[in-house]
Amino acid sequence: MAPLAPFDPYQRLAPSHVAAAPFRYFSTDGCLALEMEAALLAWFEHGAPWTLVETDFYEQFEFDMRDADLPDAIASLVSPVSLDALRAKMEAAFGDALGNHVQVVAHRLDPGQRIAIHNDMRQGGETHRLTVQLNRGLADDDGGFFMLFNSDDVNDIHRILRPISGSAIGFAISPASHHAVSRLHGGERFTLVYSFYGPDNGQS
Amino acid sequence: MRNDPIDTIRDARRQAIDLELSDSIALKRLIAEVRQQDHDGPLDVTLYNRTYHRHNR
Repeated sequence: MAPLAPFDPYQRLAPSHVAAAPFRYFSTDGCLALEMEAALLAWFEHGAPWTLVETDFYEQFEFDMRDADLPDAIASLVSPVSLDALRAKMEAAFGDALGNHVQVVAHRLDPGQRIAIHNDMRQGGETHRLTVQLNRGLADDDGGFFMLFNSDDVNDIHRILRPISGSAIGFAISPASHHAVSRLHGGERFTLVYSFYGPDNGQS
Repeated sequence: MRNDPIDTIRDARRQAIDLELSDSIALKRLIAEVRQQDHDGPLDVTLYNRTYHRHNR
C-alpha cells in the first residue's frame, strides 16, 4: 500500500483574482483547510500567547507561530513540508523563485487599533507576503478593512476588502505595494502573515 | 475552549469581499483612519516596515 500523502493545510489556496497593477497581488476566498480554520480561531481566542507590541507608530498583538506551542490540530501549519508546499504555490502564483525561509506571524487587532498606509518594502528583506483572515464574522460597522492603494496617497484607493474569515491576499512586495488596515471598531480581527524571501536570502 | 459551529464563518464568506462605498462620509472616515496622522513630518510609508521588524525576526 502506498504511504499516505502528508496533510496539506494549504490545499485550498488557489488565486481567484489576480492583478498586475497597481502592484502584483492575488486574492482568494479560501486558503486553509476548513477544520484548520476552526481550530486555529478557537486557539487564537483562548490559548495563543499574544504579546502587545507598541511603538510610536502602531500597536497590535502578535507572536511568531514557530515559537509557539501549537495544539496538535494546527501544528501542521508550520511544518517544513507544509511551508514548502505553500512556498511552491506562491512561486507558481507569481512566477518568482523564493528561498527556503518562510516566516509565519499571527496578528490580532482589537477595537481601536489600525495599521496606517505602508508598503512592506525593506531593502534585502522579504519579497512576498500572504495574509489570511480569521474572525467570527465582522460586520461592516466593525471596520478592519484591508485597503489597497494606487500610490502612497491614502485618497488614491485601489480596493477596499472586507476581512472575510478564510479569505487571503498574496502580494509581491515593492515600493508600490501600498496597503493599510482601517480601524477596528468591534470584534477581534486575526491574521496569519506569511513572509517569503528571495532565493539568495539565507535567513533562518 | 470556545468551540462554536463554523457556520458563522461560512455565512461571512458569502459576502462580497469588495466594499463599494457610495457614502462619501464613510469613505472619508476610512481614509482618515489609515492616514499616518500619528507621525509628525513627511510621509514615510516604510515606517511600519521598520518598526514591525524590530519585533519580528
